[in-house]
Amino acid sequence: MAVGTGSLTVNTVFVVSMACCAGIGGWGLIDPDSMTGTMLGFTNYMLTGVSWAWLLVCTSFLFLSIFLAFGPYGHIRLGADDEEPEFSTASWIAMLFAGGMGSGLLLWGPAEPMYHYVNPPGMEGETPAAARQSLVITNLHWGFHAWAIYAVCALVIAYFTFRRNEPSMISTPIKSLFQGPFGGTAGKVADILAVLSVVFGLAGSLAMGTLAVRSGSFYAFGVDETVTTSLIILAILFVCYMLSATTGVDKGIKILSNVNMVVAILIMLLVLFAGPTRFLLETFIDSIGSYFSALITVSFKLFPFEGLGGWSAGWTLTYLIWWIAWGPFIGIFVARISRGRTIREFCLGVIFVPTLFSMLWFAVFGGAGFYIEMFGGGGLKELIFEDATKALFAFLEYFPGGAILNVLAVGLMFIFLVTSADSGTFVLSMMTTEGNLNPPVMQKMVWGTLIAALTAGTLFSESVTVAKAMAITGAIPFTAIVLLQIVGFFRAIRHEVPPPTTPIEARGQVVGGGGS
Amino acid sequence: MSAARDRGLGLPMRIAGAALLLILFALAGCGEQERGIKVGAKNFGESRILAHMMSILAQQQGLPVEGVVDYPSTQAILEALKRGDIDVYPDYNGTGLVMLGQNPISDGDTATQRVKELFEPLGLSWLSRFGFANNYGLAMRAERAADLGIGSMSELVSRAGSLSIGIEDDFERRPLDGFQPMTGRYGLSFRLVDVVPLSDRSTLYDKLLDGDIDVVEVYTTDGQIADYGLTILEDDLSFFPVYQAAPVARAASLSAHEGFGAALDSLGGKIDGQAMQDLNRKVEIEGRAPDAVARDALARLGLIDSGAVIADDPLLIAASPLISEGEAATAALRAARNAFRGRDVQIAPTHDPLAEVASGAARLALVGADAFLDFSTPAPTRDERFEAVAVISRNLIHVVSRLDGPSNLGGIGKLAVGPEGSSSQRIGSVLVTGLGLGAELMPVEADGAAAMVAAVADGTADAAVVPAPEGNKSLAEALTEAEGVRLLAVSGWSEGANLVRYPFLRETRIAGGVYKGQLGSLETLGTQLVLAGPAPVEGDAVGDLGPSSVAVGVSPITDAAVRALNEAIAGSLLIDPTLRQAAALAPELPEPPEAINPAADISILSLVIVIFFVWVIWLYIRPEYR
Repeated sequence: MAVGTGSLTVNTVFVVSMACCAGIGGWGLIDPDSMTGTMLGFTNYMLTGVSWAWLLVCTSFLFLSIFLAFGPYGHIRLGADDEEPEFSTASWIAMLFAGGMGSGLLLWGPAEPMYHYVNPPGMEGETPAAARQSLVITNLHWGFHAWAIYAVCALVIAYFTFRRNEPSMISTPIKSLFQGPFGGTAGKVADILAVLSVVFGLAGSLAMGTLAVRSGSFYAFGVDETVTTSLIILAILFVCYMLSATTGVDKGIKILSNVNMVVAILIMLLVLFAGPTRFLLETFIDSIGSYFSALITVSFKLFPFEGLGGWSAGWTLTYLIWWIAWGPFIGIFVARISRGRTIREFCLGVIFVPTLFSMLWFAVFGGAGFYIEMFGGGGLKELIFEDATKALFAFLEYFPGGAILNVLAVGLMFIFLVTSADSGTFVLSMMTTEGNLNPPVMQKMVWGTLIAALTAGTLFSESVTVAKAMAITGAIPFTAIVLLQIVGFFRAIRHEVPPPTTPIEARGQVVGGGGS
Repeated sequence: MSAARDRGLGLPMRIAGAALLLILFALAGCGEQERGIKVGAKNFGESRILAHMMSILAQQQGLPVEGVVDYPSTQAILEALKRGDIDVYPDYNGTGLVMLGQNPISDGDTATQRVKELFEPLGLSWLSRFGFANNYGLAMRAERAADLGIGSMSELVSRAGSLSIGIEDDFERRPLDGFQPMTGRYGLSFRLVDVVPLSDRSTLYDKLLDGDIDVVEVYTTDGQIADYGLTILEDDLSFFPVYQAAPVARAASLSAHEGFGAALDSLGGKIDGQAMQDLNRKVEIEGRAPDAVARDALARLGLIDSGAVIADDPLLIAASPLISEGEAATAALRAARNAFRGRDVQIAPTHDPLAEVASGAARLALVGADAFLDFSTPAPTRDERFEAVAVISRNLIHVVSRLDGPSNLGGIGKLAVGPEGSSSQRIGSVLVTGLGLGAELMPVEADGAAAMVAAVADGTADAAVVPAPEGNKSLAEALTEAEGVRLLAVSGWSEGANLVRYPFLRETRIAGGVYKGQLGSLETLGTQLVLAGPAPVEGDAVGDLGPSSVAVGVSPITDAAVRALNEAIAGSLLIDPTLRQAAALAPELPEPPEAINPAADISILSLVIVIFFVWVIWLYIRPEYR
């Protein structure tokens, strides 16, 4: 695990995945329509045809992580038994939040609750009950399920890396599952699939994010929405994430993530305290209760009787598939920064804290939207249905210092992009250097440039559909990989030595001798 | 754990706790001691806006404000003020005089002076006037007034016998400045007087626009006046007294709350008639909440430090310049304002309205049914990117030619049409193809009725195609102004396959006498004039959302808004079945029974996934390899 010296590692995974990237990238450049059609057609078919399987898998991730946090393995440390965490808790949370969330958090903050408030599935819209249910649905999409998917993806890697000192690779848990050459082959396939899904997931997400920043700049500063603007944004982005990624996790990524978190909290506090504070806090507290009490129901909620399969596929499953698509890289990244934490601490930190934060976020942004519609002048609703990006900036104008908020919002969108891109570059370099925890700079340069090139290609097409197809297609095969990883993980973890139990006599002594 | 250390820790905590309790009691005590300020409002928009402004300004001063209370009449609110139920309310100096039995005065400064003197003994003070007057007035539609040559109320006298007037019952009964005194002063006698209850006052404007009445009694700050471009008739005999608005407050409240009077005075002279019309329009026509409008206005005036609270982005309805003014546009505006509460709605004139909708620049388009079709192919194909959401009226084809020009369509050599993409251009090409004409299409750059008619009048073209609603204002004006032009009949359409090929074009007639010089009714073709929005894009089950996703492209008008649009149009027709219509309007069809296994492929896929799950579980529970 020597610090990167700048040399490029070339191995099977690197070569084959590079070849596949070139192939798929070429396909996308030559005939984007056929590529998008095939990829999205596949995803559409899987999401609508076997919606039950996706919901079941994602929900089982949540229950698995609850079991891990509170079950018999909770005390196991991801590292040596006496190891200290590598990063402070605040920086750790900031990094995983910045890596795992995207600019969508900002965009959908006011928009998504409003969508479900006006058009709720299976009930009448624009009623108080619809408002309550809307926050439950939004929290389902952005809350426990999202972070449980990340946590499971990360935990299986972190356990093998830090507890068993095996390479930090997607294939490690899978190889442990099989004996003989099959394990090796399956592992290689899994690694290559993971690299591809990260490369395209990242390029697609960056293309979308660049478009979001571009339309943000249009509404905040009046910058023209042209391909040139997209490319300029991408160029700045490229410089930022290369600088950040090449300086390593403990400098660039950490500092940026902390800045990201501070800006996000600042915007939220401005909206919270400049807006209808009492209403927003009441909304937050109310949403906690309704989310927790509805958690079991909504975790399994499909609409076979109402005929709303399209709604499930278009909202809940789309979100879940996005989280899984980001799983491989967020998983390895979160694993990388979680050394020295116990499984219980890990699950609470990765699932519980970010979920609480996003619940507050949506209560504030969504709640302020409800307030404007219910008690204020109205008019936000139609704006959101017309154009969600435009609506975000119109929404921020409702608050004092709207101009500053606009600038902060565009800045935050941009930082979200940078943090996603640099953790992605970092992870790709790890994946193609047999799990080197501090991969060489050269490797990062190669992947960083490749991603930028793919993003630029997507931006030339000006098509969000192409970006979306690239971003989420990898998720479906990757789900199978995660399931195998989990099995490998559980088979490995049952060999852990149980914690030294305190002898009965000693316990008695403590009880007897207490109270003084 | 020594006791001393315990105390040492606890003491500061206890002091802090006690201090906190004291603060809380003090805060609670404040609320108990003095009653908060209550602001009164009469139950119409303008009074509510002003009341909320006063309430917000007092709040800004840190004064305890309890809120705004509505009263049904001037008597009630004045009585409440005298009794101390409320502390302040906005009123008009003219009303103040009338309430004390004085003759109203038409000079504002004298009236204010007088009203201050009269209210002083009652313990009530009039503060600085807001800066506008809301007088009574008579208004007419601008073109109607121009047609009749009426600019002042005296000029109305000779015409009144053939005109009808709409008033509300409060005005009808007012003893000094009401309907009877007014007609008496001017010697007016109307053909018909339509009286509506005060609460239904806004229906008077609808009646005026619909042409049911010719003259309407208005408040000069009504938002509708500017909105519908009404002409206010000059009160040349200065009959109507001046009604300048100002806060009326209890002198006791002003002295009890320091800074209250100054807060109210800060509004003095800040709102002129135009500004008040804009604010009223937001409440009365756009249906925004008065407190939000008040807060927004104060923020814009710089009187409170808060962001503007109303979204500025107007919702645009794109329409051809031929119909962007006139009754169809007004009807579309009215419907959209009702359906999109809280949004400012405007008409944006453009040649190709649907292109604006496709690009997201406009939310809706007001177009004829022809706009939905692409005529470049032999059989017209429907553009599935758009859907019709409501029927506004009918577009008729007007073929304008010179009196000495061709007498039927067959004789046209050069046919003037609008620019590429305009309705006129499409209809022109359909006429040429459908009727087998030998005419050559000649695009005119400006797509206005005047430009098209002028092209015919000066001989550039033999005829022009102008699709517009019957009696369209700008077309009627253009036909009146241009010498030697007439309308040609479109006949012979039903011969051949036209009715099948172009089902959206229906045979109809322009009634006789609609345009100058057109005596009998005239055979022509017509299409529905509809509001169109973007249609939902089908086929993608994956939504446009996600953690880093961006929603681009336009989304369709929501079902709720489509229903609201149709409810807002009185007696709206069903959409022409040849057009794609919004899902909310489509009839629900009974579904045929499904087969027991509707999708065998899904069953196989599910089976594969179940087998995979079983394999994964087996991998877990199988014995260890040793």
